[in-house]
Amino acid sequence: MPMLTIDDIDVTADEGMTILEAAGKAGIWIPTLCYYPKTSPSDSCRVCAVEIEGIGRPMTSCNTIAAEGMRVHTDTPRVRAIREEVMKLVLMDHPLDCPICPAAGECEIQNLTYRLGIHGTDLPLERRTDPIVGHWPLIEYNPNLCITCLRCVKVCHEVIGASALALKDVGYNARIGTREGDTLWCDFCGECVEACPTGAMSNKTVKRWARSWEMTKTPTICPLCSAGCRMEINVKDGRIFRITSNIDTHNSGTLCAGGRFGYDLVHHEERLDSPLLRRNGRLEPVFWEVGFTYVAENLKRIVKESGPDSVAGLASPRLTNEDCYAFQKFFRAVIGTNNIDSEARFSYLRVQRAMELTTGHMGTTGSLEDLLDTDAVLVIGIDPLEETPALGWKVKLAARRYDSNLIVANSRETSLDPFARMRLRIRPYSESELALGMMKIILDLDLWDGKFVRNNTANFLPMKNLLDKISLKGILRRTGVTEEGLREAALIFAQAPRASIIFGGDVIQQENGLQCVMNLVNLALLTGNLDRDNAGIYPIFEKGNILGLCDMGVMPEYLPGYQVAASARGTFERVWKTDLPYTKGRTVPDIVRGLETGDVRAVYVAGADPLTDYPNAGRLAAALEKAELLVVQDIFPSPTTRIAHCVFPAASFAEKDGTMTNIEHRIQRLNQAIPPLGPSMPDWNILEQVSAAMGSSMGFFDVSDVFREMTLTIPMYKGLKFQTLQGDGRIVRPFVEAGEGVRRGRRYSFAPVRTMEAPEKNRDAFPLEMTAGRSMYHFGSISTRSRNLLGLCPEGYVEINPQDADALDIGDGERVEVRSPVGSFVAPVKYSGRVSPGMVYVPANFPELGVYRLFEENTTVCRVKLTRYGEVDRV
Amino acid sequence: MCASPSYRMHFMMCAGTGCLASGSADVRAALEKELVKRNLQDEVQIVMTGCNGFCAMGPLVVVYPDGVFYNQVKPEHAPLIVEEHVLKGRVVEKLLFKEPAAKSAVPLMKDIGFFGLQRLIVLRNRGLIDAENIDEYIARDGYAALGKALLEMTPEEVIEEVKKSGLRGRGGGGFPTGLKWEECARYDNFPKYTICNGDEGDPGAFMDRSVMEGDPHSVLEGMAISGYAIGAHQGYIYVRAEYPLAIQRLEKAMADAREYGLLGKDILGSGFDFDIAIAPGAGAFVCGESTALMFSIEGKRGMPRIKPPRSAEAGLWNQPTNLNNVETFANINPIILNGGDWFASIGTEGSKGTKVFALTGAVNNVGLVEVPMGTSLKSLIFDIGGGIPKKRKFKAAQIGGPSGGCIPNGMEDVEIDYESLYGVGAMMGSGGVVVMDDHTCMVDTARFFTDFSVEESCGKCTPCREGLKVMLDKLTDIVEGRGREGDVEFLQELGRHINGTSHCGLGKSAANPVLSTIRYFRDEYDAHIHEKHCPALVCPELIDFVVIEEKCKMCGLCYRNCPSDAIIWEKKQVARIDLSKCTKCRTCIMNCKFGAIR
Repeated sequence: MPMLTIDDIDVTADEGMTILEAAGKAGIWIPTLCYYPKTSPSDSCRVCAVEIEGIGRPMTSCNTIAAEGMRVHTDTPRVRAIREEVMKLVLMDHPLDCPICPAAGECEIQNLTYRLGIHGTDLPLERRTDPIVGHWPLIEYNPNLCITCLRCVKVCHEVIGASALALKDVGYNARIGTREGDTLWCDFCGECVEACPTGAMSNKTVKRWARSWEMTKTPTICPLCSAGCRMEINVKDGRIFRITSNIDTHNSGTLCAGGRFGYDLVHHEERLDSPLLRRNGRLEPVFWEVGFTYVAENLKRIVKESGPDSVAGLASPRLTNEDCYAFQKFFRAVIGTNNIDSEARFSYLRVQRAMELTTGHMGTTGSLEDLLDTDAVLVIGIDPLEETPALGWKVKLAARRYDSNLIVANSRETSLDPFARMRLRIRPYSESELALGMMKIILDLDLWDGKFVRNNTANFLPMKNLLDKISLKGILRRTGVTEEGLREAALIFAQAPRASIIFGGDVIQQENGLQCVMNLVNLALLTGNLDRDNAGIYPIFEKGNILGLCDMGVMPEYLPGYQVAASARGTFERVWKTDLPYTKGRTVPDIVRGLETGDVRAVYVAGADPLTDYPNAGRLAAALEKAELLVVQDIFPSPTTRIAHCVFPAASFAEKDGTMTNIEHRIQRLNQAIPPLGPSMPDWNILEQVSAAMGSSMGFFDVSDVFREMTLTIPMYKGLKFQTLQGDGRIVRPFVEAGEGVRRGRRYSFAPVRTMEAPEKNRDAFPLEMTAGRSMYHFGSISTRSRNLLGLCPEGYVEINPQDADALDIGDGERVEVRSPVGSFVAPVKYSGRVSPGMVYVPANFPELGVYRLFEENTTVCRVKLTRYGEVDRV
Repeated sequence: MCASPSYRMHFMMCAGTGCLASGSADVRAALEKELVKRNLQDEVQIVMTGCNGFCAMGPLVVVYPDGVFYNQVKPEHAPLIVEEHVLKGRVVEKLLFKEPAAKSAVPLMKDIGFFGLQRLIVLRNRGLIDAENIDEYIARDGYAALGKALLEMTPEEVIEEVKKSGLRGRGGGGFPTGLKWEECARYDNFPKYTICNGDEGDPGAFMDRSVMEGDPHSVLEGMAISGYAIGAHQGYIYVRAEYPLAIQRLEKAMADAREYGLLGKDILGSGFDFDIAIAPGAGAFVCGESTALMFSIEGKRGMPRIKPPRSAEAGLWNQPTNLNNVETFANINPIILNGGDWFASIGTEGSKGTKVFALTGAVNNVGLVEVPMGTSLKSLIFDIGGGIPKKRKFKAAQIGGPSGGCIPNGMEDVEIDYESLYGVGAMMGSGGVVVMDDHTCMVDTARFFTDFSVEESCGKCTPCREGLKVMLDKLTDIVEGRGREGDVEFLQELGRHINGTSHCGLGKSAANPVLSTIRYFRDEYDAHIHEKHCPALVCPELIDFVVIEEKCKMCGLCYRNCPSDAIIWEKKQVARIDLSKCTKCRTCIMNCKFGAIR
């Protein structure tokens, strides 16, 4: 640790620290313009020059490493002269258009000029009159305001890896431009805007509507995906004008297009603005009290007539932890049933079940930051930049900057492919087979971690027997990869000292999801990649609070905190002062069957849109229509609200307090930035009001009441305080002990399973294989209410390989009907080399397509045929 | 030098870019035709050599064994040369070189001042070998140094020898080559690379081009030796794409060397592997900076990066890398063969060996010259360069390329070595010498070089990007008559700021032309600013275009040459200029022998 003096103050710097950082540590201010902590120094502005005794030239402190015995001076006449001269050169042709500049009030030139006391510039130069680059979506570049500090270029290249921006031309004409052509090939994360010290890169969506000093910033988290990035909502007069971010956060202030630009969905004009009640077949606005009374009385009547188990509830991963807790308490304590479930049934619960049987970890086993230092990453069945961009960027960074070996296995090309050492284009549905194949090779080559397996795992022998039985040939046939490819992937993964597995939607949402996750865990166990730093398993699901939803016990199997009634009944009955239901409870398929038989008479939906998000939505719609009472609370009208009997307007993420849990199991505070719009209410409060109307209040008068009760009933929340979860929150990982004998006393257990091959029915009538995923710029269906994001991706589409399109004689952009054995939709075609021939890919974000109607229960893969829209179908 | 002993005579025909441009290929064809016609093709051989250096006088033919030097040879002279020289043994008087001062013809090359005072180490093979024939290079001790290094010396001994020689980088920095190699050899991180910087960007400089075109093997050999010394097995030559002939000859040379086992695996049975690839550059001046050059080879935007780490530690692809320029590598072979002490015996205390200069501008013998360090500027300009043409006066010499400095009249006794040049505000640079006579405006010159730097700055650092632009605007104001009191002080302050705070060599020296012209020609600046007059009559806005009656000899030259009929003149009348017609083209001024127009 080098010791140096800066302005005669003794400073001990860390190894490799720059003078600028060391000075910051000692509280000594050195002016900077181009310096940006997130990137390598570009040392272009020269304003941070300092004098070092013994060195003739002034040195730029941002890139000069502090060395032992240095004597640095930051405020000598010479240094002051340099600062002044640099600022004068900067001001020389920088238009002083501060009154109309988007950066006014937070412009670093403005602040530095003021702080250094520079009164104008005597350097005569005409201002630049370059045309403003205004044709990019969302972001605008004004070359006349640019000081070519390169922050935007560097952050785009070094942090995001999009490398969309580049310095073009030379000398005085050097300006920022796009990498190639005129189009901005970019992730639209807006990092360049955040990084820009001036108004050169600006956010088009705020221009001239609000000034920086008029807006109040509320720190909160982005609810759109499960990365839970921290951000700041900027509000003026009760309206959100933009999103900014703070560099001192767990996401280093990095946001994606959704976080940065998706905020406008909050103010979308379709927001539900009144409770609605169905009268004479139409939904009519009513007062809250009327709605509460209606729902309460009908629920009470149905419970009285058919028992509490005739009522069922569906919640959403968009709700906060408090909403979820209130939801399950409402059902368990007020109604008296375990009939609660959510879309996690078709996704994340499979992961949890598989993890529970094998490892006991619920969710990721490490943090996002840990990924940077992992030696190999297997990214399978997910394009992380589409589901959780924050994680995708970390993986990119790991591969690019830290030389991690990236293996990408997917049925289509992902945005990580260019950074991967191994790309395996596998057949849809075959992720599990690939894992088995890799394990078989690892075992054959004796590259498995014998010590770890012996000491920590059970069921290794059955696993080995299974692998011995499987033929490699069959695996190659089913996965469609070459033997060399599989072998190399296995070698890279097994030989890495620390390896991680990231998997997502494609793995989780398939019918074989459970088995598939098990096999991926088996692979991690075989190579000993658990309980190791920077190694682990990262199951990813797109929607914001999926982990919180599960943690809160919104499922029949578990009480909050994965507690079972057998052991935790006492706690809950004491706190809730009521009996817990003894019946098992219905899952979504059971609820559907119950509705069809009439056993379930009432359904209460909170925040969810099952008709868009659940597979086989056709059958579900028919079932829900049979319900005597369908209550939906949501922020937007949806296919589900349209058939509801009563609709309650809920408050959006910006309008309520609460907590959410991201994929790392980081519990963070969501803060209210604006009052609830119109008459809307936070979801927990709506449930409380309904309970009160039913005559048995849950005792929640403030959101902190809900949280306080959570700390009493959920062991992993013990000791947490609502207020202290501000900032980066707390990572709390539950570890679930499996039932008797499952892991045979060991910490972990293999789960030797094979997957069934996808049934190959209807091959001729439906020649293409369709998978559903999401668009890079959308998150669930909620973001399709954001005009900003719609500008990047306006409507649903069908990605098809040009080769197939040619054979079908369908032109790029033409509308086609996509038909599966159970449903159909119409969408424009998009040529894409990213999907292999024989496959089509559809983002499931757009409710009007109703993509899930095409899937049979439990899967997101099906066979389809495409016909040009309007053409007569001759079968 | 003789590929076949049966020839009795050789025509060494210069095939450098300069002579090719003035038609040496046609001359060769004519000579060949003539020889065939007279059935002499088995007696006389024509050899296309690399650049001879005396480019102003091309096309050049040197006839051996006599050593007779013919210049400005045209195809129609072919019969004459063959008839007179080959058959009759008589020197062709009219094609001989005439010393500008003496006016007498000098038949032998060695007697010509331009050649006689040079000492050839780097250019040892110039005009003597066929650049595309490896055998001729080998015949002139080529690859003997590589053999000696690989078979008789350890890498440490090679480095020791180079250190002993005192050789300093010829690219401009002047860093001791031996120390550079030693540092690079010290890092235990493989692979390592050695790079030859052939990105010659200074206007008017073409010594590296000449070596690459005329003696490509000397570069390859020097690189191979450096590779052996530092432990590199791969070399890159970064050549500007504007030098197609250099690229072509280097590629031929590399192919030949590989065939002879002088490049590739197990060179000369020593077990040492070394190969070279060419990386063509796109001609950005800043790519001559070592780190920018390495980025360029990696396929990135050529922009200087922060040091440390120095390239010796983490250069190309973050691996230890040695980078020398073409001329430096060409010095290695003689150093290894003759020893470091021999090399150190040439030159001055701090600067050893020789330096190649590209002599251009207002000098009679324009061309490439190699002189021992410590030669005076005066000797360079007047003895070798043959003085200033048209009886004009020497005014200044700009040394060190666009960011060098000017050495004024009265200081021409300065010895040319790194320290002395630095002492007078110039620098060695890559060795461009632009000689200026009294018809040169120093403010305009400063403006010209600043304009170059504005164009070639990469645009990263504020002082260089913005400051140079301000400087250029200010200088433009001055030469166009908008100069104001205090402008000179302003330029000085800004210039010092730019030089003091920029990151790379370009920025650090970009203000030199301005600062040094102010230092030595302050009066010219003042004349421009206060009197609104350009003393050298170069800046059109600051010329009155008035005839000085007492100086006018009424010769009418101005009248005859004026392209826009602006001169009113009759025989035995003083000329007058009609300013309404005058386009300020300065033709009259350039034609007036009496300085009668101001």
